[in-house]
Amino acid sequence: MTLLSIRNLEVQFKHYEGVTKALKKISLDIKEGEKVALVGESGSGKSVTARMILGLLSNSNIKKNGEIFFENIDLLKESSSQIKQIRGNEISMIFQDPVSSLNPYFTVKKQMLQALENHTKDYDKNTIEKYFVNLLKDVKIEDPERVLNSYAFQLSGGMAQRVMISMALINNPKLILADEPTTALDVTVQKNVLSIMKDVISQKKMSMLLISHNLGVVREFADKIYVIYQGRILEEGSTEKIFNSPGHIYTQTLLQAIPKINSSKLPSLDSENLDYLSQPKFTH
Amino acid sequence: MMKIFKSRGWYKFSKNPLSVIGLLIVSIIVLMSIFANYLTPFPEHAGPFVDIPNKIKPPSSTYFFGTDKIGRDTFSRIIFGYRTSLYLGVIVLCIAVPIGTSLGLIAGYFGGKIDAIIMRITDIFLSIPPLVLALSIMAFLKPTLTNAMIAVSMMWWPWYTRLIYNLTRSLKNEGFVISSKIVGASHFHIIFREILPNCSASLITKITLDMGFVILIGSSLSFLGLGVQPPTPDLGTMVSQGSKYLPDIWWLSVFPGLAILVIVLGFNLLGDGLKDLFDVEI
Amino acid sequence: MLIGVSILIFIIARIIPGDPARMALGPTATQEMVEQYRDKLHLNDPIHVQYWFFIKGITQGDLGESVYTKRNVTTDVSTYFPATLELIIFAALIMVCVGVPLGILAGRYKDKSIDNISRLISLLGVVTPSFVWAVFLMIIFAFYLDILPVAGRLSQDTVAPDKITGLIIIDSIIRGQFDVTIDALKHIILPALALSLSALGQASRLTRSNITEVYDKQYIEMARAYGYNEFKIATKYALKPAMIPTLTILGLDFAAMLGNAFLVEFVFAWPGIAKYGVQAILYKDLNAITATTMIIATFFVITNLIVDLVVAYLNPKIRLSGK
Ligand SMILES: Nc1ncnc2c1ncn2[C@@H]1O[C@H](COP(=O)(O)OP(=O)(O)OP(=O)(O)O)[C@@H](O)[C@H]1O
Ligand SMILES: [Mg+2]
Repeated sequence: MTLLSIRNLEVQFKHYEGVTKALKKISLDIKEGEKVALVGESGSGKSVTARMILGLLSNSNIKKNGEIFFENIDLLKESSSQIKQIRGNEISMIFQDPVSSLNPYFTVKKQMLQALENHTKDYDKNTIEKYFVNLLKDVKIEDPERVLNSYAFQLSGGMAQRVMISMALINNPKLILADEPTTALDVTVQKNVLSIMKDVISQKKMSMLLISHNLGVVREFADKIYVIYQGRILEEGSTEKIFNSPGHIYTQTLLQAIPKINSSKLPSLDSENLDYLSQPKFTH
Repeated sequence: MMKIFKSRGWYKFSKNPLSVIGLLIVSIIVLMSIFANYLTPFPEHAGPFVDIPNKIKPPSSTYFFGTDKIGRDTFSRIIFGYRTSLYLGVIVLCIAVPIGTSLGLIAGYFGGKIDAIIMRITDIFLSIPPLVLALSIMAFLKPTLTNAMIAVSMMWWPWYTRLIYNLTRSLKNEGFVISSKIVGASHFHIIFREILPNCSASLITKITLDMGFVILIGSSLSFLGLGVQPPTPDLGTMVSQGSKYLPDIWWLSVFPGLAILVIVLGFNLLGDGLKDLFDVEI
Repeated sequence: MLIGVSILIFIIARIIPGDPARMALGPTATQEMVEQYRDKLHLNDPIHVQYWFFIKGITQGDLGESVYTKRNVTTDVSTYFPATLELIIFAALIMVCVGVPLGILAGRYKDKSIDNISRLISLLGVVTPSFVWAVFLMIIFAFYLDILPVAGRLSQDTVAPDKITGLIIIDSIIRGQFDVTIDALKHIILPALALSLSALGQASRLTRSNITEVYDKQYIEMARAYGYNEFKIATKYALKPAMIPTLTILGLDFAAMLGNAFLVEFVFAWPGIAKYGVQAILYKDLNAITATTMIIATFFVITNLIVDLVVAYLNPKIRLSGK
């Protein structure tokens, strides 16, 4: 069953100098329980895609077209109160920089509680702390009680990102969007956080859209990969096929550029000289 | 001079109508108060003049802003009041700016103990509200224009110390300062030839903004009877004396009050325009 | 801090030119009378003895007699200061209750009309001295519209409630005399408004810039992504981070009102410390000046202390590092 289906999504930003076409008719599908990766270089439109799904880009300088179906409702046409019901409840999101994603003036517990209360008011006050503690244990946090009563600045980056992952799980969402969840972390903890995330999500049978600029990072993680370049999907296919027989020259370049260790450095692509867009989309 | 008007900066400045209004207000007031003797209808009314038959006249074509209890023209007195205000502003800043700037340069450039001492004192001064500080200083001085200027200068220098201190600290590590240090330039040369000129845009902007605020504080002091003494025309004194005759002789306090508002507004708009023009933070 | 202030006041008071005894008694007094008066003020004693009397006076709450009112200055100050305090507190309430929401709205609706209105108010507030506001407000509301009283703390036929705190509004509520409360409120609105206008503009401008800054933070987007509603974000989730830096400055604004209260009190014949203080300054009434300065200094110290405590309480970074 397809959980999320993006159809011909177009996004344009209007500003003083003219318009930026951030997304040019992209289509993308995520099935139930599937882990999908969206890979592309900086500025290719990955974050815009994720934000569009949750309706987080909604000011007046934006022009959007197309459809985003989530369980057969079109998120682009929903009213804002309807979208709010979905946010953090059926779809939740993990951001790139965990420490600045947590409000520095509220404890972790308070923010987890609020994330819960945004969607349900009737929960058992006595067992709720136990529930949070278990969620934190799921992401391998050793001293959950202390973390619950901490503020963001008291947590390390890796710790904070694990807190964010358990925050995303609170309302048992069907889909989790993770926008470069490990880029801001030390190389040594990146792998660790990623595997924790993979385990939890597989265990809970949730779907996931993982955004990354690094094909190497998504290899062990995703079932399916979309390659995006300048607002266009250039190739889509199962992880296996993409790695074994990349169909698009851009994907091939990306694969060559994978650093040996999972470094957070961007692959340096000589995109000036090559016109990747002239080759049509490659679907496996 | 013509170059200024053709420059990019002037274009940016003139694009903002508020800055231009500020410039107009300030230039008109400055010119009028310099040439007050020729431009006001009754220059002799600035002093202890008495014209009982024409007392308490409401605004008219002869007396634009009416006359007071002894028949003096409010309009003429306001223009002369501006002269007093500007005089106060200029003198205060002539005292406060050099003192504050040199202390800021010294503290920022040399650092260490001298920095700690100067900035500690500065912070103490800055933590006391300006008017309260001026009042406390006036408590120990005779209420005259000169003493009011001393009191206001005493409270104003710390703002310049703080501003120049911060600028100096960041300029100190700039390439051009370090390189002139390497070639063996004297401290004097570095401070006055390298650092100070780079502070001038911020200084000019702050001085412009402060002209307005110094005038405001000065008028507050004389409103309380602690500054300029009659018969010298002063806007604060005029509001204070006029407010006793509200509401019947309203023009005696309303017009001088508006006059203060206009001049402070003028310097404020002009200063804001300069801030954008030079692209400085104050 | 207070000790420092007391020493400073003492030193300055002794080195100012002019003989306080001569000033107090006027030019017609004989040299003998002046000498007697100097003895009474301990002005003929050596300087350390004078300081001893001075400190003894402060600690015992007895700062001597005012040469102008001929009453004990402590009594004088405790009669006049509550009126000023009431005015300042009321003005601060207006500043916070109007300025902060205005700043929040301006920050949320940047470059819309509400933002421009708030900018205009803050510009006018900043460039207009509070005594000019006082005159304008008085003409409009007290004379032209004739809906609010012109001067004083209470109408002539209203009797002030027996003193508890000295703040008439609070005292009358405690004693249940609500007609007095209403009369007092009517009297305080105009002076408090005149006093608050300049601070109000600054408060809204500051809140605006802090709110704008906070709204650009990642955790606001994250709040939206977790289904917070905008109202909750504006009143709690973004407000707390924005208000903590604002609070410190509001504390300074509150303290600064004491200076402006001097100006406003004159226009509205408010029976506060201003007139007393200015008389003291004009007559070089040493004891009265000392008492007034001490009460002002105390007011600052307490205000600063409260603000520091509140900020430390609200800001977990400070609170936790203090442990
Ligand atoms: N709010 C916005 N207003 C205007 N332009 C925007 C906005 N958000 C994104 N863009 C533009 O849309 C394009 C795609 O941006 P996006 O953030 O999706 O890139 P990305 O793939 O996430 O890159 P990165 O790896 O750097 O995060 C960029 O050209 C960006 O400048
Ligand atoms: Mg991104």
